Amino acid sequence: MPGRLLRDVPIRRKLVAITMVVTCGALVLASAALILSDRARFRREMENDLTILGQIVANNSTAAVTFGDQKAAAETLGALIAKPPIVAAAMYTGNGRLLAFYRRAGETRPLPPRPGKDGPAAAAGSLGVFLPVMLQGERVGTVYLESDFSEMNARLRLQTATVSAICLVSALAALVLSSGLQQLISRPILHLAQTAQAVSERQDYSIRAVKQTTDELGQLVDAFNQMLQQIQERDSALSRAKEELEGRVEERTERLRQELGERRRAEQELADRNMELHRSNQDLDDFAYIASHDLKEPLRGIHNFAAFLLEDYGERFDEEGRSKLETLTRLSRRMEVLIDSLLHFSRLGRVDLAIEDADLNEVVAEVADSLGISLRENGVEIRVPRPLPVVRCDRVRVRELYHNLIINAMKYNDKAEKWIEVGALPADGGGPPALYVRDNGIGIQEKHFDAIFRIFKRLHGRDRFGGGTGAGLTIVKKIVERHNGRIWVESAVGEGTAVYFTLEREA
Amino acid sequence: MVVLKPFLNRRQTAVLALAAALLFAGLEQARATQSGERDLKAAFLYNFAKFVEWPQAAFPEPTTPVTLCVLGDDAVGASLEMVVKGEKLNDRRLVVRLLRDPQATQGCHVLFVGPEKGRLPEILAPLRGTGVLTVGGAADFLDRGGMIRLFLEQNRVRFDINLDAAEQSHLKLSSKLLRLARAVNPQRQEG
Repeated sequence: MPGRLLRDVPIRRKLVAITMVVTCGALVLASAALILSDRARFRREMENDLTILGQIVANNSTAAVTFGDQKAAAETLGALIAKPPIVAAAMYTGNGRLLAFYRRAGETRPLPPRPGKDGPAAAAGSLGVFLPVMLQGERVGTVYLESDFSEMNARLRLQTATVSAICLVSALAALVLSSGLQQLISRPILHLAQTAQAVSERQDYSIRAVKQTTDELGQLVDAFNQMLQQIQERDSALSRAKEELEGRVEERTERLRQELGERRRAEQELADRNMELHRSNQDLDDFAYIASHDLKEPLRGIHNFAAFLLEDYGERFDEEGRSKLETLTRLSRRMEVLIDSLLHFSRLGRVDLAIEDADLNEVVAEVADSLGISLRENGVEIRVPRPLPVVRCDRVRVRELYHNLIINAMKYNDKAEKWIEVGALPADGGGPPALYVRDNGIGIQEKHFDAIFRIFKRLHGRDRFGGGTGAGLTIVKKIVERHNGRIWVESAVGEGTAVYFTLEREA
Repeated sequence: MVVLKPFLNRRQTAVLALAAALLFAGLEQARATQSGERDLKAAFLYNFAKFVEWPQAAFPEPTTPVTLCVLGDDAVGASLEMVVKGEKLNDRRLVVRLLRDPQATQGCHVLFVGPEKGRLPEILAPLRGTGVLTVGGAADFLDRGGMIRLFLEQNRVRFDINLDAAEQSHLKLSSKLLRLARAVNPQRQEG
């Protein structure tokens, strides 16, 4: 394949080669066709010439043939020596006898013994022709002429040489012309290739190819330049965007780092605070326990010794002294109750809960049962309008919780008809149910909603509403908190109070 | 190319073949026997007619035959009759007339004069300029105003031509014929 051979050759040579292949191919084809047609023409001409010559000879031989004059016939044929291509000639009489013949010097080939069919006759390496000898419209004999191809071959050789020379000159001219003209195509392409290489090597997109023509190559250069333009624009836009992005990333990273640091510090602080709080809480619990536990012992001594004094030496004291001793005994007993409450409270914070499924209906029933006498004495009715849920909790603590709340509700009520409602608000949104204990008691002013949960805090005089240590609601709150629950109060003075709480142990 | 006329019919071919055979028998075998010589002479007479063009006046009618007359040689006459039998010359029939009377040459186109010793001038003189082709064998035939003299030479039949006499008679002899002649105008010039 010429195409494969040319594949890696520079485009200039390719163009020249293509031109030369086409030109030379066309020349060779045309020459071959010319020579072939000439050859056919020469042969035809040769046949014609031979026939004409034969006719002349035949015409001149009429009398000789008619009269059978061998000598005259031989003379006529002998004149053919002037025509070198004539190899042989013969004259036949009307009945086909050989009358006379001619042979070129050196020729030995035999002549046709008898006349053949009129017209050209094939012979080895030569062309023969038989022609009739006519006289007055009658055939009187036959003439035979045979010519070799020397003349025709000479003409062909000359023709071939001429055509070859013309071909050579044309090819040379084509070579010169195409070598010059190929630049029309190759120069813009080479320029384009060099430009492309320069762009690629230097990464410089500002280089531009020069447009030299307005043909497709010119369009190619335009397109190439436009491409470079676009690449250049995109390149700069890209680097701009990259810089911007880098700046932004840096900025963002810095901010993040700061935020992270702040958050970490905050977390650390929070953890510290938590730990501190936990520790102080623990300390407080420990202190409360230790204080209450250790305080009981001397308190018992004080109480006992006060009692001893009153018993053994009561006669020696006057009335005032005895009264003071009784007060001392009463106060020490009261202090013991307070310390017991404190001990109980602090134990609540220290002991682990025993969590189980507790049916609150049962729990409330137990509380109502244990408080049965007091309830009846105070004329308080406990209402449970709807069944209470089963809740995972420490059953004992929750019973204490209900116990304290019901006692409070029972105590702080001045109505003639007293009631306590125990219930549960329907759980909404999947959260734990809010439980409540509501009464129609005296109510609490809103400003006291926080104070009521403080330990030993009493809103009323010591002996009003049945007294008490003031630890009940504090313990309730502690139990709710140990269950991770929440407790809040709704109340209107004179109308009643509702204490709501949740036991979100599982959450 | 020469356009060939439809070829000779069988009889013509036979006659031609005979004539040629006779001719060559005479020529090549060189046996100029009496009959051979006679037949050759007859063939030559016929062939001469082919190479001669007569003046218009010689053929008054389109159908006027070519008349070949033989004077004083009946053998040649008979032979000639054989040769021309059925032949045509320029679409004219060929007729052979055997003459006794040398004055009765009216209508002849070719006159073959047999051995008529002494009477030759008497025979030829009146024919001068009349358009009759005269053929004879006498040595002085041409000198006496004859046109073609036939003779044997080295066993070959040859002929001499007196072109002047022919031209006087307004006969046109083909150059081809002249080329075959041994001599043209060999007669002693008068005056």
